Amino acid sequence: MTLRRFLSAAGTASLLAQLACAPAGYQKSEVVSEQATTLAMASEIWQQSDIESLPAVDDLVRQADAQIASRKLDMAAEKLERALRISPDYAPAWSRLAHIALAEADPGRAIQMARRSNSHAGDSVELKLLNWQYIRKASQMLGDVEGARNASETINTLRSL
Amino acid sequence: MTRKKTKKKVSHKKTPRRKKPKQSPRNRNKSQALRRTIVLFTGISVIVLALYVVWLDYRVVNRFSGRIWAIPARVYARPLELYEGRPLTTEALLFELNRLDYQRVNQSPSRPGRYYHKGNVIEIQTRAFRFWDGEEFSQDVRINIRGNRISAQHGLKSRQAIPLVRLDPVYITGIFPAHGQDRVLLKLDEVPDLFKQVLLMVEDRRFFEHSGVDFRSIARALLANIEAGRTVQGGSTITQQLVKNMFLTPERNLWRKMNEAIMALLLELHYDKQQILETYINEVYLGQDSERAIHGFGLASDFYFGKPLSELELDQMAVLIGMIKGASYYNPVRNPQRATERRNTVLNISLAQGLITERQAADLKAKKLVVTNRGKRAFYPAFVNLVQRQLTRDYDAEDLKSEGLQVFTTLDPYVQHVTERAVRSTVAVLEPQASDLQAAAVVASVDSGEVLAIVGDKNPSFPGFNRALDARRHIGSLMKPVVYLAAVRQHNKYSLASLLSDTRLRVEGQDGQIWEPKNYDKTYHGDVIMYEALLKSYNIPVARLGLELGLSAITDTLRQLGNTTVLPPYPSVTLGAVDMSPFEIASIYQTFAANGFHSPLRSVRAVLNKEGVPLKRYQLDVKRETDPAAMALINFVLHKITQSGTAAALAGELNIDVAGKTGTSDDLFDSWFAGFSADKVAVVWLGHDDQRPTGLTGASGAMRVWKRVFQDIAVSSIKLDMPDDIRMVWVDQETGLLSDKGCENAVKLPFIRGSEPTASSDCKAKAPLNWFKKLFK
Repeated sequence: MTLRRFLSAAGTASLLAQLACAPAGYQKSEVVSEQATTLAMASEIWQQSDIESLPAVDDLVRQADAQIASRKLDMAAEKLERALRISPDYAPAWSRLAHIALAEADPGRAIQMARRSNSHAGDSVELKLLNWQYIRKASQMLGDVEGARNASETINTLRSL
Repeated sequence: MTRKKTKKKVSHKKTPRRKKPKQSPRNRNKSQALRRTIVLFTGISVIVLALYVVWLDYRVVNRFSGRIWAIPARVYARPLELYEGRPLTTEALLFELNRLDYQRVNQSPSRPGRYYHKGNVIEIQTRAFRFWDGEEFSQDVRINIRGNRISAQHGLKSRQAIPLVRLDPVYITGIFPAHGQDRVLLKLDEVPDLFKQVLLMVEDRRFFEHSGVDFRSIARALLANIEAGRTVQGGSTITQQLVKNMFLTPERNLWRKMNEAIMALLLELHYDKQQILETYINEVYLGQDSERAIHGFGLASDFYFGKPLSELELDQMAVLIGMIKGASYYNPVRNPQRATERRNTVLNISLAQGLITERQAADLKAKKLVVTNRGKRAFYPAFVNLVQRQLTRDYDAEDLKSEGLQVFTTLDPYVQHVTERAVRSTVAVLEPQASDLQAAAVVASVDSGEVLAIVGDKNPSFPGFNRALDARRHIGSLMKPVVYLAAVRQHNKYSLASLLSDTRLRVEGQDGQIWEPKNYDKTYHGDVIMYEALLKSYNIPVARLGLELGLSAITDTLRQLGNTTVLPPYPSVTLGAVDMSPFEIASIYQTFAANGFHSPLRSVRAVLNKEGVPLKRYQLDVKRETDPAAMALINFVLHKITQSGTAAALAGELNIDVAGKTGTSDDLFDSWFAGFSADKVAVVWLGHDDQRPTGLTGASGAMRVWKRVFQDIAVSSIKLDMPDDIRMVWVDQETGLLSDKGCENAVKLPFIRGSEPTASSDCKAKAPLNWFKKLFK
C-alpha cells in the first residue's frame, strides 16, 4: 500500500516511463522486486482507467486484485473471466489477464489478452501503453525480436501523443 | 467367549474318572477316539468360525476403508449471475428459479430456496453453494426488472445495494453407468436434526445404545409377529440394515441373518455411530428412475421434492423415511395413497415420541402429498454429449462414472429452452411442405466461446444422432464471407468496391468435368461490386474470385477463423461444396462476431472433485490472427445483409442490429443461417437426413428459427463503429467509383485506408458544379 501511495504521488506518466525502461535481461534476485513494482504500477493504471464499469464488475475486479497481490492467480483469472462475462468490453480486466499470463510464463496468451484489451481501450492511452509493454515483454520471452521492436515503436508513438 | 467355553469342555472331558472302571479296553479306546473326534471337530469348527469372522471383518473394513461408492459425475448448468444492469426478462428469471425448484411463497422469503414475485419485483432467498472459486453464501435479495433489465438489486433486510448475486446452478444430469446407482452424498451435519430424530424414532430407537444388534428389539418384534401370525415388525437395527444393503442378498434365511448380525457387530466394533448413521443415510435405496437407482436421502430429496434435504418440511421428510420400509410399495409417485398413509404413520410416531405437537401432526397429515413434476425436468442430450466429448480429453470415462466429479458447464437453461422452442415450433410449421425435416442449432457466447445451447434433433430431448456435432453437410453460401475475407485481407488488391464479373463461368475440374455455377435467380448481372455480390449472395462472382485467390488463401483464412478443414481441390468449394457441422460453422462465425478474436467453443468451465476441490479450470482462450480492419469490412456487409440483403426479412423483426448470412446448398438440400448480435452467435441448420431437397432456402427455413431465438433472449446490438484505419467513403454501387451522398446508387462503404477508389463517377465529377448551381437557385 505504501508503495502504491508513493507511486500514485509520482504520477502515472513517470510510472509508465519506469515500466517501459525496465531492463529486458535481469538477475534472478531482481525478479521478485521487479514483479512487485510492475504490479503496483499496473494496478495504478488499471484503477485510474476512466473506462466505465458496472458495480458487479468493480466488485469482481477488486477481489481479483487482492488475489493477484497474494499470487492466487488462477482464482484471480476466474474472477476476471466472470467480470468479462458481464462486461466483455472492459479493457482493464483483459489487461489484468495479460498480466496474469505473463506471471504464469505464458507469453503467447499474454499477447492475445493484451491485444484484446487494446481493442477495447478506446482513448485510454495509458492502458494501451501498459498493454504494449506486456506485448513487448512477452515477445522478448518468445524470442520474437521483430514483435518486440514493433511493440517498442508503438510504445514510443503512444508516448509522443 | 467361544474360546473359553471350548477349553472348559475339553478339560472336563479329559477327567471322567468315575466311568473309567466300567469300560472295557476296547470301549475305552472307542470312547477316547470319539472324544478326540469331538475335540478335533470342535477345534476345527472354532478355527473355521474364527476364520469366517476374520473374513467377514475383512469385508467390512475393506469396504469401509476406501471409497464406499462409485459416484457418478454431476453436471451443472452455468450459474445465473444477477447484477444491476443485467439484461434479463422476468420470464427468464422465473424460468431459472423454476428449474432450480425454488418454492414460490406469498410473502418475502425467509428460507433459502424460496422466492416471492409480484409485478416487476422478485425477492429471492438464494441457496448457499460451493463453486470452484469459493463458497457462495445464501443471500436475501430484492430485484427490480424494468425494460428487460435488472434496474435495482438490494438486500431484502439490509436495504443496501448488492452488486452481485450468484444463484446455485441448475443440475443437468449425472454421468452414470447404464445400470447404475446414483446418489448425492450428504455429510451428517448437513442432515437436519429433526430428520435424524424422526429417522431413528421410526427405524431404530435404541441406535445409540446397542452394539449393532438389539436383542430387546428382536424379542419385541418376535412377540408382535407371533401375536399377529405374520411378519409385522422387524427387529433389525440401522446397522443391520446397512450391512444387509451393502453386503448381503435380499433373501430371508437364518444363515443370512446370522451373517448380518456378525457383520453388524463388527461394523460397530470398527466405526462409530456417527459414521454408521451417515453411511446409512447415503446408502438406503429409495426408488428407481428408469435405469437409475435412487440411493440415499440426498438424492431422494432432490428427486421427489426438487430441493435439498435441509429445505424439506417435516411431512416431506416423513414420506422419505416411510419409504425405507418399501421403496416401491410406498413410492410417492406411483402409489401416492399408500405413501400418504405411511407418511401419516411416521408423523404419528413423531407425535407419540413428542417430536411434534398434536396440532402440528394434524396440520401435516392434512397436507396433500405433492411430488416434483418429473415431466418438467429437461434433458439436454446434445449438450451433455458435447460435455462428455470435451471431458474425455482430460478424464477417463470410468472416472466420470465413479469419482463423484462435479462438472460446471456453460449451458444457459433459458437460452436452451428458447432454442428448443424455436426449433419445435418452426419445424412444426414447415413440416407440411418438407416432411421429416430435421434440425440442429448451436448458440454460443461471442466473447468467450461458451456454448449456451445445443439442439441436435427436431425433438431436442431425443438422445439419438447429434446433428449439431455430427451432421456434416454442404455449407453453401455460408462460405462466401470466408472467401471475401480472404480477398480483402489483400487490401492493396481488393476492396468492397472491387468489380467482379457476374457472367457465364465454365471451369474444367481436375477430373475433366465441367463446372458451371449458376446464380440462385438463374440470371447474370454483369459487373457487380464485391459489396453487392455478398449482399445479394451471387454465386458466380465469388466463384470467380475464389479461383483467382486460390485454395490456399481460402484455407489459410479458414484457419485464421479457427477451422482446420482441409478443403477438397474442387472449384465448387468457393460456393460451399464442403461438409461441415453446425458446431464448426458456429465456431467460424464466432470469430466474425468477435471481430477476429477466435475463442474455441467450449462447454465446460471447471471440474471439482467430490469434496469440492477444484481439479481443472478451463480458461478463457482468445486468439486473433486476422486483420481486424479486413474483418470489419466483411462484418459491415453481414450487417447490411440483415437490412437489405438476403436476410432482409429480419429487418423490423428484431429491435437490435444484428449481422448474418443465409446459406442454401445445391438443390435446396440444406437450409442454413449463421448470425450474431454483439454478445451471442447462433447457427441453425434444417434439412433431411437422407439428403433430399427441402424446398427451403436459408431465409425461408433456418433463419426463421434463428429469428425466434434472438427475439426471445436478451441480446445487444452489434457495434457499428469502425477501427481507426477504416475510412467511410461514398461509392457508386454499380461501378465502384467514388460517388457522393446525393448521387444515384451511392452507398457509403468502409475502406482500409489507401484502398479507396481513386476515380470518380460522373455524378461525383459534377458534384462541385451541382453545388454551385444550387447556390444560385
